[in-house]
Amino acid sequence: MQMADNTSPSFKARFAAFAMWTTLKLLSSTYRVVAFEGRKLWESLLADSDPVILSAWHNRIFFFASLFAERTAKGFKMAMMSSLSKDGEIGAILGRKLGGLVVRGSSSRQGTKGLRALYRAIVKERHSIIILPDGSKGPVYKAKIGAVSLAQLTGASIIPMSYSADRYWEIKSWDRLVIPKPFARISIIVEKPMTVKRESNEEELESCRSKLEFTLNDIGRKSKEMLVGTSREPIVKVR
Amino acid sequence: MSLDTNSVLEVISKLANKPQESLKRETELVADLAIDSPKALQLLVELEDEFGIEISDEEAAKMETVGDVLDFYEKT
Repeated sequence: MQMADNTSPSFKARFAAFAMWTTLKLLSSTYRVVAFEGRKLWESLLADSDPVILSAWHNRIFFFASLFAERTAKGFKMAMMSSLSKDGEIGAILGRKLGGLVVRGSSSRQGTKGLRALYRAIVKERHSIIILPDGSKGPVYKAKIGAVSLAQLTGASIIPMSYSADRYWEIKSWDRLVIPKPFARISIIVEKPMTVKRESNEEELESCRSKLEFTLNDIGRKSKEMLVGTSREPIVKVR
Repeated sequence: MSLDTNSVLEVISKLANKPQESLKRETELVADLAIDSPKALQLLVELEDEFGIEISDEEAAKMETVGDVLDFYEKT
């Protein structure tokens, strides 16, 4: 298939990806998901599902990576875009390890080519896609229009997602990457799907972008509140 | 000007929110019409849907001006 990224990654990128993957697997096995709003919707995402656009802030990718892997292991077809930077090279390797199809591009470099590859993944291959709408370079928590444009042109719904952890490291990167600490309690929200009308004008598209941004911030805050007073017992195993 | 040329200009004009008469062959899609990546995707999808001709990534990358888009349709 034309869209897949077949470039050979450097040794450094492969080593970094291996280290991150091992860390992810080790840490994920200790996490305890203690609250999960929208679990039924999440578990309905299977191999024959209509494609959707999963959308989360860039800094939530570490834990969500293990959640996505759990879906692809059940046959859910997923594609994602990884930037053309060196970090993006590592992201591309990890994306393939998660069982996803990876296209290279970003909002700033070869953006159209990357968006077209995602468009084709949805329309022709019937893959769902993951969009981190403040990526690839931020500003953090500011959604770009890409997810909304793809929803408008493909008819696929956007599913906003977020989570909070009671204990985590925050990396000093542009996105303030969140890495839950071992044995962290985690609460997840998978929000109801958002649709974008094909005939939307520029103003309506901006309104959808703004709604997505608001929703991602709102469910981030709500998921944090959900941790208060919840049991320590896990309700979902993520490995 | 052929009917197809007019139709191509109509698609570009609608997307860029500019009157069709203001579009010249040398009008640049990014610099003059502010067509960024999401709008470029929309333009390509609408052109493909309208005319039923697939535009490859290589051909799309060569389209920098309105004239480049028109030339593509004149050639095909």
